[in-house]
Amino acid sequence: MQITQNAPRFSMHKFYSDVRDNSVSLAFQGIMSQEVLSLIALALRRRPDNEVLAKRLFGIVVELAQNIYHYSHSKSYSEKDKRDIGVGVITIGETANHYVVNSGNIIKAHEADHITKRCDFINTLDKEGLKEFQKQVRKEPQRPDRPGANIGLIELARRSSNTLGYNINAIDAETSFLTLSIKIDK
Amino acid sequence: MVPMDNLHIHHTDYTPEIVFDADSGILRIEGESYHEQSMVFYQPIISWLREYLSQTDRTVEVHFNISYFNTLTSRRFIEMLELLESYDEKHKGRAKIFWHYNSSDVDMLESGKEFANETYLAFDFVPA
Repeated sequence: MQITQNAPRFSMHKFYSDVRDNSVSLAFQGIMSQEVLSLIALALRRRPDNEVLAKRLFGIVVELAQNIYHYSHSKSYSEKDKRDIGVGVITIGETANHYVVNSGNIIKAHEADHITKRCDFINTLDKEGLKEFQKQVRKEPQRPDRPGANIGLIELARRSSNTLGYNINAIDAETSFLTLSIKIDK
Repeated sequence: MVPMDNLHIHHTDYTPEIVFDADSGILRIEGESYHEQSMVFYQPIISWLREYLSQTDRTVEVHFNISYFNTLTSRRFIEMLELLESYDEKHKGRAKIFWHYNSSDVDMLESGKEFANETYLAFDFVPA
């Protein structure tokens, strides 16, 4: 028997199944504020048992969240910060052998090409190559019109010791949805 | 010349404690550093350091004791190290860096070594 009384458009059941099937233990959608990051830090500190791994995992969450904070095309005004802050979604899940951190946010369609090229290039580099590339970019002056350090994607590849997973889906002529998927060996 | 005031900033969940003691020349940065706008937090600290190094000639010790920092912070650390390097060149070895890390934290040791490789400054690695 199906009971539908004031049925919401959001299916809690589907959400439950999705997060359960992917062992998602943490999901957040909204403004990627400093306070949200601090809460995630608290949650992660209790697990996994391996302290270095827990910190790498947190480092991955921070860089993904800060990409959203600075670069998400969808922004929302934060009363506390008195400014617009990027909106997006972050999940932390796991498989038998990996932790998987995913981030999703809206980007401008024309940014897709740059992001794709950057990820593809980073994915060709080995451990030493990533280290050298990060060192080189970190020495360049911070781009004046961009608030980020421009080394977040390299850091993600280094901390995770895996290639960067990404997917870009067109929403309409102006915007696309960017998913970054970072896995780290347990 | 007006003597410099000490600089003391209390830590938060995402910014480190800053204790810069002008008289002793011992400057400590301790805690977590992942401010989403690192410039907002570090600008006054870097300004203090620049001003201090322009008026003193004593030995300056900088103690980094950081448990986690983000990539934006690493850019600010590079800027501080550049200021200290110029000071060290001018005053013949009067700037020393102490990189404190938890002995089980291989990543933090590696990060320190990477900073050390980018400067001529003397780095001491201090496990805890």
